[in-house]
Amino acid sequence: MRGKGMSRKTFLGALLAVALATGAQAANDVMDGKLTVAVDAQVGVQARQTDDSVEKFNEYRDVQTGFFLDDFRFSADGTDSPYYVGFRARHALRADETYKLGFGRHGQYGVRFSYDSLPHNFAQGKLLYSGVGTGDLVIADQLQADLQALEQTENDRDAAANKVNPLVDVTGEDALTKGIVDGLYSTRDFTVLKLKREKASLAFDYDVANDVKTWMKVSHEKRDGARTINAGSYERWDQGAAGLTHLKDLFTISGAELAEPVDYRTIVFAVGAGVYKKAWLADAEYSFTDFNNDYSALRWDNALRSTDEIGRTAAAGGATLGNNYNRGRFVRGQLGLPPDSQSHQVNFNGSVELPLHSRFAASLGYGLIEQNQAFNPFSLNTAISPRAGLDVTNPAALPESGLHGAVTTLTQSYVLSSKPIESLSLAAKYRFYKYKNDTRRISLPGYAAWGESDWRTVRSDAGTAVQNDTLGFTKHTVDFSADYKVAKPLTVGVETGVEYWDRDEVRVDKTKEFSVGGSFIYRPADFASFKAAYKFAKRTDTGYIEGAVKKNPEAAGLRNFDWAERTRNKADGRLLLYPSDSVSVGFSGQFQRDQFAKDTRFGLKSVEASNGSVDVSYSPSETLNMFASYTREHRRSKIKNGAKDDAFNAAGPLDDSFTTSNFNPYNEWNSNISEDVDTLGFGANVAVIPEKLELDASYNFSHSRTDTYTYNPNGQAKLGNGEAKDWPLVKNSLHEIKADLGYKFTKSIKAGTRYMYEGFHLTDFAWENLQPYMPGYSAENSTRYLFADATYRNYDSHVGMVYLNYSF
Amino acid sequence: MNVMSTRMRMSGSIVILGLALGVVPVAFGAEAPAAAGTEKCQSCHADVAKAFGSTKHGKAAYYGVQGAGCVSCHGESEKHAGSGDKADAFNPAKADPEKVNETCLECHSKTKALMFWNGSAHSNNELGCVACHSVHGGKDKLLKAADDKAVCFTCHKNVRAAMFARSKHPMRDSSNPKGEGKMTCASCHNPHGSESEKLISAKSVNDKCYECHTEKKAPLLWEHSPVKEDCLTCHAAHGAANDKLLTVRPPRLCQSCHMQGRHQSGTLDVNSVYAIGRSCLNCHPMVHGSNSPSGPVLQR
Repeated sequence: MRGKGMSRKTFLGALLAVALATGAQAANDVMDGKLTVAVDAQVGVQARQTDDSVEKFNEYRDVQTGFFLDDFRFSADGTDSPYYVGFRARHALRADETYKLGFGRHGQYGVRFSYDSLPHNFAQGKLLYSGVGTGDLVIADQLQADLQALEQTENDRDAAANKVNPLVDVTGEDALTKGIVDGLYSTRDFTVLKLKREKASLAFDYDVANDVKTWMKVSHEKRDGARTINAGSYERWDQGAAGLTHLKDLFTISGAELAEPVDYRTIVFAVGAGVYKKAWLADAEYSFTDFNNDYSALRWDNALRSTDEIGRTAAAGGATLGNNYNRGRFVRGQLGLPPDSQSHQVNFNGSVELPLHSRFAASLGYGLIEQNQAFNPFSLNTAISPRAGLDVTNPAALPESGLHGAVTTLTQSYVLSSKPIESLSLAAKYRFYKYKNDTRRISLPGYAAWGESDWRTVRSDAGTAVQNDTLGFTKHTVDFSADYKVAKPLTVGVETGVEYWDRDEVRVDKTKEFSVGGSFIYRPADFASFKAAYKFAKRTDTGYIEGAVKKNPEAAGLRNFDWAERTRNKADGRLLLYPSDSVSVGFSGQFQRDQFAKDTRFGLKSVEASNGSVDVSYSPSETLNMFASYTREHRRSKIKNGAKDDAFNAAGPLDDSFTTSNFNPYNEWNSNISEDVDTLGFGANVAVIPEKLELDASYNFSHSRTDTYTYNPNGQAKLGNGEAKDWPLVKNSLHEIKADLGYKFTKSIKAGTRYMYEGFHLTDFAWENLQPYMPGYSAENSTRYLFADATYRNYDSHVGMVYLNYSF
Repeated sequence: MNVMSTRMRMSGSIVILGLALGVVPVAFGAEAPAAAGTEKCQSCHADVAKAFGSTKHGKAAYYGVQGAGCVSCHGESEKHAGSGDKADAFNPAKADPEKVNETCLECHSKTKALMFWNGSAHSNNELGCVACHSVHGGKDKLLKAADDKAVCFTCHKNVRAAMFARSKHPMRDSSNPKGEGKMTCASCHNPHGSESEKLISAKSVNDKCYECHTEKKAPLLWEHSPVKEDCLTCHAAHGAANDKLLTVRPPRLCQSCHMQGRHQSGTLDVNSVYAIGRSCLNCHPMVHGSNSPSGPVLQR
């Protein structure tokens, strides 16, 4: 800490010395007037006081108490020679620091170095593990043993007396477990979950001739830190027969919030050359990207188990091996993390002028992405090896050592634009994107499922053999637009287009979207302009595989919205008025309504998004400028869903047509999600004493509300987990106040004081109801899940500073 | 280790700066080619010409574009030279956008970044170059405002509003007097036209995302089908009222497409582990795909 403090002072001192020295030189005509030097430096001291989540306040920045060098720029340029050099430092010696250095000879070559550091602070959390930030999270063996001893077995819960609610803490072991875990959490310190992205790059441009350029770029990026990730599983419990006619829709979940280590390195190298003439240009570039992750897996101790076991089908922990009960019985778990990969890309670009004021531009690209990271073993749970008939902990038991993943991309983009007559502009575009997946198909003998406590020889989602899908697609887009200037103030336009997707190995074969639209721009006078556009699009799908089959295990009648039939209406407009030289007023708005697969039973059925803004600026004199803006955004989604029953069908007329669907109409539920966001801002720039004392002040406010309203469209649901539940409003607000009062002593020196307040407040039940260890009491709740509670909620932060700005 | 790396960076920066400063006086002693076509204008507009000389356009006039000078943008202004009347000179700042663009494209049609300008969204909206740029410069990229966000937000108010949302990319930093964050609009978009949709400066939306999120680029043993097609199926790139830039909060986002079994298809209470914390991701964390042999349902 002392060393860093000394370094900071030394560094700041060195930069300032350079600034002042060169400044003094500049005042005396550097190199006898052959050199222009510009320096801009802002230094000062600031104090920050933040209540609550400083991580959210500093999410992507590093605002600290102490000295700062916010922005330092130096540039030197020859007045009669072609050489230049520039240096910029931002947020020097802070976690969000940036340095850039460039020099070269105008019109011939240029060299640019840069270093940039970007923090990403998430939150503080409490983890019971040691080894956070590594691929190995460890917990005391004794704790595992103690908590395993307190496992309330399915046999305990499923006793006849507890059939109605087997989540009752029959033995008292839930409470004992909570006591142990809560006690441990109380002794743990908070861990800050954060990442840091550091990127260094070098670029070199060399102009072989006036129109012939070459370049080379290389960058090295390191991402380092830890963020939360979760791992869990569930068991389905027999709810019993007391007064109920259905079984097994009661779930208990076990798992843990963990810390995912991030240690990525990305190296990018690119080289290219091109000829750039007025009538035509052409260039080519090759780039190589190497991505490396130091951690191929996150392995962690299961706090709830000290011995490996396998799940069982029978109640009472019976001898029959299977999947229903006692899942998650592994001592050490294992998550696969993003694998190493390499990619190559070659791009060709060209453009040429044609007759009739026309131009043709084309871009072609070919890419290859490969990854063959060695697979992790199936599991670390030794207990499932006998059932699997192989050693699941040994990677050698896998049929392949790695994926041999390979994807090639072929892209083409062509634009032909023309202006055959002065008043008419035409453009035709064609884009092609082929994502060809040449990844090897691998048939696995099975996989560790249900919280690594069982061996499945068919996929639990599809009921098919355990084999990977090699997803791919080809996309064609054709657009045509014409704009005609009817008269000087009025231009009208029309557009039409087709987007066509051909997909491999997903549950839809093809989709095709046709669009048509119109627009106008009206400028009746210098003080007004009005633009508006409308577009209609209709997407159809071909070969959508109906659900409840192996190739589409989702519910019959469900359409995935991104592949479904869609009708889109989109409009936007903008009106700008300048009623006087000192006033401008702008109104803008957008509306988009998507309706998806309206004739099908389930899925996202519509999304309606709109926004409207008004902004005003008023500058009655050169010493005063005021501005204000307000934006309201609205988004509403409608989802149709239904709780799946087992073999249950309530008597009634609604059942008849759905008796084989497993989704009884009585258990249908719809959810309308409305999101409203208001954003308000206003401020002023005032020259209190012209050319001397200036005041800048602004206020911004954002407030969002999300209302999730769920209802049963066909009356009272028959299943507990199909009954509509009220979710509270989710709200967040952000206030931002900034004020800056600066006094210019000379043309070069300005001193000032600045104050900033930011307040963020979040109301979100997803985090508010969280406890480190949660014993359950609802039909879907956990009995064994350990949360780190690593999230942000609120902060109030004040930053005050005094600064000195030196520039010339 | 941090102290060491900080010292190394500090030392490196000072050395580089020092070297650069040392090199400059030597290099600047060289002779430069004479500028063309500005002498007559300078006789009246000396201050403008001097200030202009240090801008990118000024340097281009000297060293990049042969024959470039004041008349390149303002046209042959013999009448203006004679009368001194402003109205007799072509002023791009006040001219019709199409005329302005024609003037700018005289040189910039050979600029790679503008090769898809014709027919692009901004071109079709009759946006003149001077709507965003100040030809005589001063700011980076000759922008009219401090940075490209400030320029873009002049029209794109809804995107500006997204900067204040609960989750967002690192674009806004109110602690900085210029409000500069680590990203700008130009990090993802080319306002001058692009080969792909939404003025994205990459082959596709996903290819742009992979530039920073490289770990999501490679093929995996178990894919989540929407991921490789379009990140925007689930994410709102400019900002969202939900965590992780999600368009809809889980579990409802997931339930838009998944209702295969009982546990996906519940309405879910506010104390359900399926609804709290990371919701579905409490058990299915590998939503972007898994390379684990035991990850078919994205649990591992």
